[in-house]
Amino acid sequence: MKNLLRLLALYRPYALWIAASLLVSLASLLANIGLLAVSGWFITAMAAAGLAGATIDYFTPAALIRALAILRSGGRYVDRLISHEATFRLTGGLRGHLFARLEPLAPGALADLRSGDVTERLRGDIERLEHFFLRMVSPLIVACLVGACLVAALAPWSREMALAAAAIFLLAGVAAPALAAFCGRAPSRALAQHSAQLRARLSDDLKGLAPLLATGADARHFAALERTMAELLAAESKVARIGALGQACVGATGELAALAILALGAPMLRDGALKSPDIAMAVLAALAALEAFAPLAGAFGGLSGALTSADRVFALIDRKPVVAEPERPAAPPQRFDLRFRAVSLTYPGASRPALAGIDLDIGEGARVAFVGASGAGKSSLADLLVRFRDPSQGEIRLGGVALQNLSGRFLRSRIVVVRQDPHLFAATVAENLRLARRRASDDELWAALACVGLAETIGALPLGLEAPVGVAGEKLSGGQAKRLGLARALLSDAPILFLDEPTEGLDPETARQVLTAFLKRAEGRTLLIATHRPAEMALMDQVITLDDGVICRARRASD
Amino acid sequence: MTDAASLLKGTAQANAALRLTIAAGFSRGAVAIPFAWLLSEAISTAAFGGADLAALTPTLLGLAGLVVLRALLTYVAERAGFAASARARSALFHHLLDHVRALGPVRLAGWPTGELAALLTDAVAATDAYWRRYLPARAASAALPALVLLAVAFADWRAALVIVVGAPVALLFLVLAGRGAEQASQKQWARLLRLGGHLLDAIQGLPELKIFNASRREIALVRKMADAYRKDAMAVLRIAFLTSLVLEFFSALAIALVAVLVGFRLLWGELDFHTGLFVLLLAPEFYAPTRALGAERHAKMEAQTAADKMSSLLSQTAPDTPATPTPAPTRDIALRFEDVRFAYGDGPRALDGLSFEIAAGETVALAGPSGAGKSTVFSLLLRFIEPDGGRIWVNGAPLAAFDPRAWRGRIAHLPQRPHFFEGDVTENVAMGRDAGAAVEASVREALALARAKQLAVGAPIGEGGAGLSGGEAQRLALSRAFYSPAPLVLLDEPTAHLDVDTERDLRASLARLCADRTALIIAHRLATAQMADRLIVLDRGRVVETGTHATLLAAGGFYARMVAPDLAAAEGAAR
Repeated sequence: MKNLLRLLALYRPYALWIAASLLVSLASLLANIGLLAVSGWFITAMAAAGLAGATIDYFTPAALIRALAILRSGGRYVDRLISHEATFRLTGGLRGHLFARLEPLAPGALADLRSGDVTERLRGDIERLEHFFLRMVSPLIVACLVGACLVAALAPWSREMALAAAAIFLLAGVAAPALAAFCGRAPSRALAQHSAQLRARLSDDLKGLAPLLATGADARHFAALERTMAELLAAESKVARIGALGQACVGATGELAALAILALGAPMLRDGALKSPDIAMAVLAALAALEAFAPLAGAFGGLSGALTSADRVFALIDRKPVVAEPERPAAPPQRFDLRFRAVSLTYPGASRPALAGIDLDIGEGARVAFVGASGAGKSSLADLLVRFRDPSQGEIRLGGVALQNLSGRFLRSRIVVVRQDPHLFAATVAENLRLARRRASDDELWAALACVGLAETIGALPLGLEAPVGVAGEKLSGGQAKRLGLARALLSDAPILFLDEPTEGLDPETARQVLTAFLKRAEGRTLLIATHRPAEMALMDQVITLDDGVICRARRASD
Repeated sequence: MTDAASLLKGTAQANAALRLTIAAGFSRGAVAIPFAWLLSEAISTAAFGGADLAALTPTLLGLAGLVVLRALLTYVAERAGFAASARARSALFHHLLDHVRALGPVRLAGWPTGELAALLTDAVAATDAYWRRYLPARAASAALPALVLLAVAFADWRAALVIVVGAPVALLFLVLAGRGAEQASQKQWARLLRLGGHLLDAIQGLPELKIFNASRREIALVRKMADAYRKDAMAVLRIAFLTSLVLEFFSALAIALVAVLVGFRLLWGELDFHTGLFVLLLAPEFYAPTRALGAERHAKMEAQTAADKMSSLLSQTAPDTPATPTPAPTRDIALRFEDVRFAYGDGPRALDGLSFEIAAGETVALAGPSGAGKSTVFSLLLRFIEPDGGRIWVNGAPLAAFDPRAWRGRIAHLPQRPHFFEGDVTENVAMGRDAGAAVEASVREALALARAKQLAVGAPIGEGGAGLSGGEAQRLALSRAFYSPAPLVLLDEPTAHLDVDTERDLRASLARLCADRTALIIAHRLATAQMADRLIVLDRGRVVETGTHATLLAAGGFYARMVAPDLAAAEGAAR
């Protein structure tokens, strides 16, 4: 419920659009009702005049009928334009806003979510919120207003007639679909879960298609996918059944109201309390009122789905980052030596620390290799350096200033990490490289590529630098993708580079060439490398061995 | 069924439900005629016959009965419509999934996972309204107006003429607008898919965006994409709104004209009131089915663009599996590549006349610079791709003669980037090869052989192996290979992400894995290369050298030059 109000609050900047849309929508519906009602009144009056041989002013009603016909068609068109424009503006803005909110969260505060799940919130859930106003809020408000107008018009004739119409509008038109939607809440929730589950499983299985086929597990996994799809459809069926009941009730609203008015009006006609054109007008107006109530079945039906989506979107917006930006960042240090003091890191929920009591001084321009078994804490060090996480205890200082006191933006302009599996964007080679330096010239890009031994490969592509790397670099081999990641780091101006297993997956010759060239290019910068290769350790000034998050050996290359 | 049109034909089961929903929907619409007749009779007798409530009661009860009947028909039509949609979508999903399986990972490399997943979920879902609403509405719009017109003509042919006069113009406009909308809708759909792919890409790359302080640019880009999506969507909708504007205009016009015509004929006494009101009540019903169809037109376009997208996947042909496959050998596998050529798409040759032989029980390492074609050899052996030219022989039988699934059952494969599924360690090691209590014991044994005992069998594993370090992931993948009793082992860099000590530790287990089996190993590490009986050195898709590690070093050729730096470092460390 809280999120419903929050959702409505999102519409505040578009209040004018909304008000305009509601007004136009109301006017066009009333015009349609008026068209039929006046037509009914007109032919009855004409028939009465014909029977009585009396004269009648037929110009006014005929003109009114024409005017209502035009108002009705034009009004609907304008209403749809306005309401859709407002909604798309809102959801488009929400997408950008939500993505901007993700940036401070990633990767620490998003570690428990699948990337597909996060994407789905940005895409599908926000898409469903689009319908919230168009198909739920607006029809409900307009239907209530139309119903109120009709009841108010009937009231001067007969209180009973007005009450009967109000009761039918409320019960069949509003309460029935609302009740159906209420009963449909649980199935709708289940439906959303099944849908998310199917998507998640599909994404997992498609990414792992190779091992599935290679091991023959595809039969089992794909059968599970089809079961999930069947469950999804079964859940949909439940939701649809309840919706169909609501639909059937709503569909009878206009006709029931028309019959009630006729039954109550017949005695009044005999008494002369009502004239015959009036009763025809009222009955036809009631019939036409169906148009206002018809969308309510879908409106209430979609409500719980929209609220689930709203919950998911708000839950993401409300996440707290695992690292906080300093309120008043310290002055940027001039030096870039690193000092670790008693640094420990324990991941949330982990029983053992990933890093414990790390004391380390790394001078400007030092070259340090971190070695140790997998899980020894090398990658955790990298996360701490760029403040993807903060130490649970202890402190890291850059040029004498604690990392927590530096703005993230400044920090990451000083320290660049090439992660073990660097992400390449589904863009061109050049665009991926220019991530590190926006205004890098083509020559600079080629130089960086040459340094990692990719210049020849990329040069051989018909599109060269403008060649797309495919999604997540799939058009490149594993080794090529890794080297592109290294070239990207070279292009940045950061004086400190941390390379996490930079040459894993390369053959020894290429590995040696790449690293030697890299070291030469990075002259003067601090270079930290997590590696297993003896040949690479030999190139460094200092080798630090980590075991279970603790430094167990540190030796200088000269030792 | 690969072309878009046939995808929307539906299955026999779906069509049975579809016929029911069409029949129910048509009957519901047809009920409007007796309802209008009875209602106009009731009003007429009340207004001009001076009837009291008692006299009206039978007619009112009849009307109430029709209201209930209509509600029932609505319910039946909705249920049957859903059944038709569910059955048709289920069949589509099955069909797509089958095709994905037949194509395999390498042929699908051009499809981003997000897009493929969207195809199987969103695109299939996008056909829902087509079955459920569009097709019934189309059937209703074809038959109901004619029925209504007939009823009106029967009552008063002049009114029928007035109603029908706008119809040709309305129809012409619908056809014209429909075409433009179709193109716009296709564009929008493509953009929606791109938006999804782009968002996934940006979210996966958030750490890099942050590291390079490039988030702001990306946020601006996402905003721009969202905005472009809005503009496209509005362009499509504007056309859709225009068509409904036209229909509504003609519908309103028909009511207005009928009202005026009937009014004057009543005034002149040429028509009785009962008939006049009946005709007026039916006037909106003439355009109602077409208007309802107009409201569902986007459903057709959405389904069509979805079907086009699906057919672009389905038209990518998978090789035929042999009708009568040769049974794949269960042990002692010998391999022979004979002048094998392969290129990815229009790219350069990845394999350019590759020929080599591997005897049963041999452990052979493939060496060579990255891009030499080592992984392609594995993809071919796994039947993820088929050679463009040349042949691969297994124990004297062509590889293509085996059923791919049966053949893969003979292979234990350790890929370069192992993928793990959300679940637990047992599931990820056993990979559904069999079930039962024995599995856990075998998994434990496999973990022990891979030196991965620190992983508990029931330990949970997150999406894409979240929670595993790089080394643990490799060991888990190794366990998967150890678990399989397959006679052919394909190992791609089995020691990646492992430190020197663990690597040494593993070598004995690897030797055991390869013993009594035929093993092909992509090796970058000296230790792995030394482990092999023989090395095949590849460069640019061809064999340049073969021999043992020692003989190749002594020969001082391509291989010797390639490994020289690591050898020097290893010697340095040993000293």
